[in-house]
Amino acid sequence: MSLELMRKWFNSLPESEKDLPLLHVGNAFYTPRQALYEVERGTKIGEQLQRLVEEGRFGTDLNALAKARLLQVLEKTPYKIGTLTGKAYSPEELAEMLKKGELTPELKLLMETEIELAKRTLGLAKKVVGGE
Amino acid sequence: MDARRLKQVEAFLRAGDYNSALRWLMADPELYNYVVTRMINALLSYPGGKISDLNGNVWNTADLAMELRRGRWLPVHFNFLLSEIDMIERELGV
Repeated sequence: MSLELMRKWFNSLPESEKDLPLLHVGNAFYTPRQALYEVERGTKIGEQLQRLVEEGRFGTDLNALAKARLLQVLEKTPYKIGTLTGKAYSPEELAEMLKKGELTPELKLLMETEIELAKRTLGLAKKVVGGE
Repeated sequence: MDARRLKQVEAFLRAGDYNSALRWLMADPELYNYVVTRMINALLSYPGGKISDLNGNVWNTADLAMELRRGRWLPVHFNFLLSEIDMIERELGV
């Protein structure tokens, strides 16, 4: 995948996905925006990120990715999240539970959603390459 | 600029030996200050302004820059160190 295709992939993403963790290299998760930045700078980390995109891999297991994404999503969530049991959690409570690994059914559902969105985001790279 | 030292630091980083990488870099204070200053600049303008790690931390890159200024290195800093060394080596043509 060339730099041009990386840009095309990035531009095809919904705005909400551009700044959420997607790929893991070394000690950090990178968002699509950061991945493109590293590729544009021509760093070795950029090369590794580009390879992950090409191969449709996240560079880590799905649960770790979902957790990283959800923690960032919760940081920006301004309201409480209600559950079917009638309890409502603040984003801070949920983030704390997530960090401790206390996965309630609601948290599991939110993580599954993040996994689906991450798969779709990475899947768009194949479409971009396919439409070359 | 000691390009050989940079190469050695890079080799330690690639091997995941962060302690040796840092020790090797710190042995040349001028080079250390130059690299750290570049890293701080890169962190202050990093796209998105946040970066996550596997331990569930979400870091503001500006906070990471401050930590570095205080001399406190976190695992996530080593990704930025590797990128900056790449850039310097390219500029030096080594």
